Amino acid sequence: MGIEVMADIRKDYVYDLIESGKRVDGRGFRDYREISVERDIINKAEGSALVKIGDTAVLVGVKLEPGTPFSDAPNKGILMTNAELRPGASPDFELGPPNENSVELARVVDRGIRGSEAIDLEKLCIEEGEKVWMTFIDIHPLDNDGNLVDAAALGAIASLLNTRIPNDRYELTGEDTLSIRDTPVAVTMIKIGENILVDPNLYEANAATSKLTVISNADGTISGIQKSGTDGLKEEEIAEMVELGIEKAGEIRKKYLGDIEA
Amino acid sequence: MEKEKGIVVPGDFLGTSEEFTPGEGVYDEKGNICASLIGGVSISDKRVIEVQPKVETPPTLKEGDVVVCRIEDLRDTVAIVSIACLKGHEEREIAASTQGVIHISNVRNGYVNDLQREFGYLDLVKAKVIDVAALRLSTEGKDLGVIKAICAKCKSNLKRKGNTLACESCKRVEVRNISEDYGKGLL
Amino acid sequence: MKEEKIELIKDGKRLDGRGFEDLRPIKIEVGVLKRADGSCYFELGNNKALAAVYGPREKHPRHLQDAKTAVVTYRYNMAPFSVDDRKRPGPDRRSVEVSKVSREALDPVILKEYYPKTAIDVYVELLQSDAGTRTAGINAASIALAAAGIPMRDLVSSVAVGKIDGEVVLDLNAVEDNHGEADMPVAMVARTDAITMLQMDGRFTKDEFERGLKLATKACHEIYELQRTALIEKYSESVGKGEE
Repeated sequence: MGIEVMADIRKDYVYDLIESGKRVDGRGFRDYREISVERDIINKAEGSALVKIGDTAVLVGVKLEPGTPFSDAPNKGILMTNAELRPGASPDFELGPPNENSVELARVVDRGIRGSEAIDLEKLCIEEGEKVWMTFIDIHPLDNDGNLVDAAALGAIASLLNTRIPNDRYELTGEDTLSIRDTPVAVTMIKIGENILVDPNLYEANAATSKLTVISNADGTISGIQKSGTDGLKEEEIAEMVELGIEKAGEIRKKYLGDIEA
Repeated sequence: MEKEKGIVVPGDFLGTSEEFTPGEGVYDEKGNICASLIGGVSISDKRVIEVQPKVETPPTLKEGDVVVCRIEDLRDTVAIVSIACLKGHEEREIAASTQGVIHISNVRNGYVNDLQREFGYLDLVKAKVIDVAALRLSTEGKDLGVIKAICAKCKSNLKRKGNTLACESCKRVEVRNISEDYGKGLL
Repeated sequence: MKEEKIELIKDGKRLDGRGFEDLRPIKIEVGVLKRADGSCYFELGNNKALAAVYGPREKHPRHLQDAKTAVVTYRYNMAPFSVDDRKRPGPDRRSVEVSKVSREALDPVILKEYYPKTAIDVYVELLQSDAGTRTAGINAASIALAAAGIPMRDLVSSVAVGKIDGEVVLDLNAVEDNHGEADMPVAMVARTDAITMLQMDGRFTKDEFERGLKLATKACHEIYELQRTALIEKYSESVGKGEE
């Protein structure tokens, strides 16, 4: 209970500070915390990445296994994205089946990957109508200090870019690497008072009444948007956030995904 | 504090009960005194042996501690509160049962006639522990009292206006025992 | 998995080059998480375990409180990508059992009576697994509890022994576990030699069992020294988190 009450009390402090042009950790309104991406750290996974944004840490693992295609897409592989908010990562996370927050996290990341058509699902067909590769993206937050979604989305695409197809394990032949055609990057922004801030930490996320995640691609197109929170955003605010989101995504892509561009 | 050994960890043997009296951060098992925490060993003039922790230990309450609590129930002479956190240890839950009380006689320096004019339901209150066993708290003192409150009618936040609190939405005015830290978001 | 016979010992060495009584490499990092009250990352060969401890904190709902002591919970969980064939998320019978015996392995050393009506919650995530995961988890959890400043009588150390190609060996990896004849995870309080977890499956002679247990005891002492050293190094370097 203490943690929630403190979050409630700190709202006023965070709000007043932001109104005076400052952030709790001294960043500019449009700055991310320090980001790090470590790839291929789980050798049991076909692809993996540990992404840290400040003290937030998310581990993403990709597994592939053969399965039966959906009847309406007999020549396409299957993509499944799942997130588990394990209680070790935050006192706010509870044991139990996926709740609305973990489902939302997984679905927003999934939408970015799917909407950008980053994975060529047709290349994941092994035998039309019979056997295709099922690709599982599992999002495993380790430490939640705010903005899990950007870390998870970056971890997902960083993992996919390094994913090997485990042909040998299933005695199959074919391409050994996953072909990735785009690099969707999520950028989350909040509104506090009349101010727009990127990459909210936990205190800021608690103090914000609305939040917008914009997922954009290498060519500047958008392939996923999620507005959450309890307050409305105006059209011009959204326009500003979308533009900012695309700009920040470009910076992150260049710095953390550029050297492994497919 | 006589001497400092290096760092010890739980289970490290420190001495026997013939040599020392066990203090904090140690335990006595059949005459053997061992560390129960990670830290440095200190021995007082009176041969009390202690481990001064190098880790943050679970917050527990003692007399004089300043806490933040939430008003859960208001009766005629007493406010029932749940204690949320200990000042200086805001990132960690209190390692104990947290139900406490503020008696009408400990609300402020002076006579209080009506507790309803001092606190409201779900107010967040800064208070001082005056009795650990019964978890009795006091709000006597300028920095103590209500630090955050919501409007009884519309549940919006109340803003401080002089000695009263005004609702940002419905303009309702309420009275409270207000702390000088009201609305600052800090303890 | 025993249908195809694999030779697990060649020229007196195991497939990964170890002798019979060798542990896999161990790496320990203390205090790796911000949100948890105590945490530890523990690598045992290819196992990667992360333990997070919360509490003591008031136990909810209240009817689950113990008026005399803290209530310890332990949740062992394998990440879906931690194994060759993806593990379906969520608890299964195996992880429920592992959680129970792991909790009982640690419970005796925690001075629970200091914190009545509270909960001490231990969450162990296996990010990568390669046999011996519960032992890696217990080693990590023991350190994380100490790092959380929870008073303890001792640390707990854990390792498995087993039988491969007819030989009693220490600390089986996944290939050895899958093709071996027996597996026996052990946890103990190294200082007092009290065994707090003992499980066994497969088939041992009474003599092999006794030799195995001796081997495990010796290895737990080695692990204990590593755990102790990791904690001392962590807390010698600087003042502790939040120390006043």
